[in-house]
Amino acid sequence: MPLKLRDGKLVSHECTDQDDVLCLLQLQEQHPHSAQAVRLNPEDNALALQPWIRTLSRIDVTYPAYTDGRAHSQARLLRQRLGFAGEIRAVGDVRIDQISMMIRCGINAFECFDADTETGIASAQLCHLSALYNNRYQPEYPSVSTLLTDTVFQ
Amino acid sequence: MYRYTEHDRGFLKSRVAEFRDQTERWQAGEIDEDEYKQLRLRNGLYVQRHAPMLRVAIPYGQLSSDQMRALAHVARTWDKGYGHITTRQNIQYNWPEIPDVPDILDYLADVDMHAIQTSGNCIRNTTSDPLAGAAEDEVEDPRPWCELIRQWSTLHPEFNWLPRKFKIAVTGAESDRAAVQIHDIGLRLIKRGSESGFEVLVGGGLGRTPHIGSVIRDYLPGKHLLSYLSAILRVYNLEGRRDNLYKARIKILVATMGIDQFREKVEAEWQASSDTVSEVQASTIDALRAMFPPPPPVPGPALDASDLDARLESDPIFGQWYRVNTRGHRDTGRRIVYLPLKNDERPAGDLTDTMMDVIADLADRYALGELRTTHDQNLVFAHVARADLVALWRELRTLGLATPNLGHLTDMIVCPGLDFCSLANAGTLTLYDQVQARFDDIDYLHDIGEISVKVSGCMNACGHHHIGDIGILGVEKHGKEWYQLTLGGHAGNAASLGKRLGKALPQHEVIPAIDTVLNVYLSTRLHGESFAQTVRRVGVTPFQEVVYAVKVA
Repeated sequence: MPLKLRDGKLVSHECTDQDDVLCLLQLQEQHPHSAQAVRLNPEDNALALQPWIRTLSRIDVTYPAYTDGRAHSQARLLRQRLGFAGEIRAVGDVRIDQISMMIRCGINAFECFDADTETGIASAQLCHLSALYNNRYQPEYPSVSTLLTDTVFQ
Repeated sequence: MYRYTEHDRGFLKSRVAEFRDQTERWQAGEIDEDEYKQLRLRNGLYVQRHAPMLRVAIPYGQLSSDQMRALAHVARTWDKGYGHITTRQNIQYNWPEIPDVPDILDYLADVDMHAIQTSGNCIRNTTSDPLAGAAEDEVEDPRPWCELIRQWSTLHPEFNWLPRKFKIAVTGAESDRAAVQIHDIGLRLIKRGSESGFEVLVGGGLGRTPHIGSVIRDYLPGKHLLSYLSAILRVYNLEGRRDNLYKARIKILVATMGIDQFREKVEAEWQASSDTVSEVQASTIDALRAMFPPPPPVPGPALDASDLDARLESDPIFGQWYRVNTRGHRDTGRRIVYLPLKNDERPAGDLTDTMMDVIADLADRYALGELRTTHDQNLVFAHVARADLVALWRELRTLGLATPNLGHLTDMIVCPGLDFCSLANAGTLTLYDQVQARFDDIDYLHDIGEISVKVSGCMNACGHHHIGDIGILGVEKHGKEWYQLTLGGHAGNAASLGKRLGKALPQHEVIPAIDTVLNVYLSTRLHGESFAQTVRRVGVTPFQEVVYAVKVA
């Protein structure tokens, strides 16, 4: 069951929406007017979602391996460039120790390969680091604790 | 030096706690071997041929004497009593135990040091000019900018899982001592009126496919530095190859796309993010600049210049050291002093814990309590009063740190090679010992003049063999160690890659080949011509003919 960041916590998120998740190509070829959820592969251009950005409520970014950081940049582009305020869900090889960086890039939901990892993530401490460096100069990458108190993505 | 605040210390301590927790979870089997590897690499911890290796960051090569003492303590307590200065200005320990590493990092955090991002596919320790803040030819001190980059790149959430490692070098001087043309990003500080800015190079690097960096921007105002670096990194993170380890560096992306198309992409990305990305505030860089003040005026009565001149006249050994191992300082009352770590007593760049302590004490007494590491694996005291030179020289001599070989044949760059590294194909340390033994006549070395010999034990080129006047690459053929020689490489302002001399040689033929190459140079050079200039003028053929003629006969 996917996890969603809500009120400063990662909570299990009942899939009541049963979204029909399209891939970028389907979106581009079929041009549905009411697409709500789309999945980006790592090689996809996140900016290609611009025409649909107002109607989409959920965008999945994929991690074929946790060492593949492309989705981090895709998430940043969606938040920063396209102003997307809905759910960005990390899907695939998502690991506990990477969650905080993903959150700082704008990801606010997680769907792992297996339920055990999700359970582990739900009970893990989200913010190990008491302070950070890089957001001193780039506040556009806020710290997790700021995100948790400001609930920016809610 | 940069002064840590409570914020910085809090960050470091929590980072150590995080790594301790990760190590414990790995020991408990909660994190698999492969994932722990990625986590430990980002904390400087490798597993090498014999044991783990811990690489501690020395940001832009700058150390305080107290930090040096802490490095000595680490060597004594958790290692076999020594450390190794690397070609990226860091220090490596070859024998720590993995369970001790959180304690080591905790100890280092107390002196504001860490091992963050000294390995892994992320932004590595930023390197710079070891003479920063002291050199006569400096346009602007690069260290405040290096510190800015260090803080920005530390645990950058977007750029921690790049296709491959990423190295940034900054120079602020006319003469490039930071080898900016062979880095993923090279930055040259430029002044336009009162504004500081950068010439930005991208896509340089050594390794299997060496490339000289290309200029992506002639001039970037300093306030845009972080947004522009972010744009380059974002294009690389999204488009760099991830299917082949050997084609994953940014140099391959730039070469495949061509610099013009790469530039277009970066500029487009940069323009488009301009309203959502922060720029560097003038107050930010000014605050950092204030932490790197110029050295105070030399206290006491000014040294009578004729005293030093007389000494230089009357004591040829002191004179030789002064000419070879020291450099002019922007304050005429001071001098820059190099401590070469290359001699026949220990491997290139190695320092024992005792030496580290003694050097730290010397730094306190003679060099305002600070020192630097260089990418040539030597040390520098940047601010020595001219009046102290004779006393310092005497002390360095007794320590074996005054060999007048800086920039000469025996001042080699050598990677650890087969003896320590699990990637290496061939040993490098024996070759180093042989060169030290064969070329121990200092007059002969000075007759040859400035020349760089750089040795790598494999194609990854940690010994920078591509940019040595004489480059030596260890290769493995049929289970034996062979060595490929190149000539004419250069790392300074107009960097160039060495050309192959010919077929690889077995180990016992390497020293004779170097001998032959030097003889050809000595008989071919025009008056005052350096080795590099001679190779440029005549090419490698005359060298080739003689080295390989001997073999055929």
